[in-house]
Amino acid sequence: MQLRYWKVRPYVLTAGRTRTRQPLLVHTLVSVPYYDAVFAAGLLPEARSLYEQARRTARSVAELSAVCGISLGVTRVVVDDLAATDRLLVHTDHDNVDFRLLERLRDGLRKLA
Amino acid sequence: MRSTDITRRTTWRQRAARWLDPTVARWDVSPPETPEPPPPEDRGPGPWPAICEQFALRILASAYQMGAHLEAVEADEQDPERLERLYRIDHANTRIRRHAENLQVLLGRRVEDADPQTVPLVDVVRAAASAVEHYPRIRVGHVVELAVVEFAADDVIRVLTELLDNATRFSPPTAPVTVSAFVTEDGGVLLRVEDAGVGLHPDHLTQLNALLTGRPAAPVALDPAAHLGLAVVAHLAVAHRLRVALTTRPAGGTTATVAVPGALLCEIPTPGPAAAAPAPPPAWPPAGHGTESWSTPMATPHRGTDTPTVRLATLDGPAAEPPPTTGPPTTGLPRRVPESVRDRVPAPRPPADTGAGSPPEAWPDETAAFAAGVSDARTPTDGEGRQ
Repeated sequence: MQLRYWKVRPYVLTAGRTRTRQPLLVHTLVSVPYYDAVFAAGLLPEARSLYEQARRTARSVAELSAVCGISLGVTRVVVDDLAATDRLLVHTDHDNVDFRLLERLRDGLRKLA
Repeated sequence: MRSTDITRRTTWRQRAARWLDPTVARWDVSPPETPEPPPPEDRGPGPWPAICEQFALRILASAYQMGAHLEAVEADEQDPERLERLYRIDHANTRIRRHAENLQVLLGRRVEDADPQTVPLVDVVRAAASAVEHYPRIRVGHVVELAVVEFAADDVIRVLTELLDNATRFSPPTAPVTVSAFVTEDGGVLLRVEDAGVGLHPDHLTQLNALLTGRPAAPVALDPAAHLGLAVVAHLAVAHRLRVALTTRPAGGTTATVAVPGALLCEIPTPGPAAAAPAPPPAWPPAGHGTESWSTPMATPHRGTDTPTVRLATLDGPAAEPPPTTGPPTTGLPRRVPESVRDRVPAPRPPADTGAGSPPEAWPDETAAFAAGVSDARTPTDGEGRQ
């Protein structure tokens, strides 16, 4: 899905930034804590479509990138910007990783190999 | 012959004098030098514009090629550091494209842009910013929701690029430059570029404004290197009847305004916004409902089964194709459709197979049989659905 005119280069959407304040992985879930229509109307197209898409249910960064047709690098930075003003909630799920399950999975895969 | 000998001798003398005493005035040398350039100019442009144009076209072609490769690599890149480098390359490539385009404009040629289209003003602003060296300082202010028509969009982008370039170049390296777009009384749009630079000298300002209207009052005694972009702006402003002006801000700095006439504007094309905001809903509800059905109560799935719109639409179309396509992607509800279709398919198929034996004349019969099969298949499914 191509939304922008091709002369609008990706770096201009993030003012050249590629790094985020917090780790945003492909599978990191993002949601909108409270939806503000006025705020959404004032956003630039990319931020707006990301905000709208994350509104209903929590979505992963990769999913948002695909749905909105925005490259992953740009999606990360724009999501990070929105999260910095608490407009988006980033679900850090690092504590929930079940290492025992992963180890068992790894062992099972090794048996298969 | 003689005069040149004299001038040569004087220049040699002057040079020697200056070498001995650097304070010797330079104006002694310049008068004899200036009469010489006119003869080559009088010979006419010759083949050079055509050659320059060819070079510009080749540079453009290379820039396009590089841009296409960059786009693909940028989309896949996940490492921030490498992505930043790619952005820098992309930025340099975009500026190369801009300069090649400007060269064509100055040669009086119309630039053949790749994939021209109606461009929303927000994208006009951002496309212009993309080709400016100090783009991170550009802030997008309030931009009215209108678009520039296809044949003028790229030229408006070029005009704005040069004005933004001037604004960022001649203002403090930390000060932001703001772009905004407002509707005017006559139905046009006013693009404003505000900078916080040192501003321009009043005499300078009038000269530049005269240049921008395309009617320079006097031979412009401005440094061409510093105002390279404004020559491009003047060309394009005249071509599209854009009114470009520079004004000094009382608070310091300069405001550049571009009045885009109403004839060059239109609503943002519906496919664009439809794809941006409302279209995802039509495309995504199937998947959205699928995910919701896990988290929300049973009410929504039921509604999904009752509404026949999706299923009927697929059945009305080519009957052979939709069942496989609808089957796999949808999870809970469509399962019933493939089953029911599978049950009914044997009935329509036999007539179709017999019809295949006698090709040309049997065609109406075949279609009739097919239609009957479809209607047969449909009525029982409805019944099942209701039960």
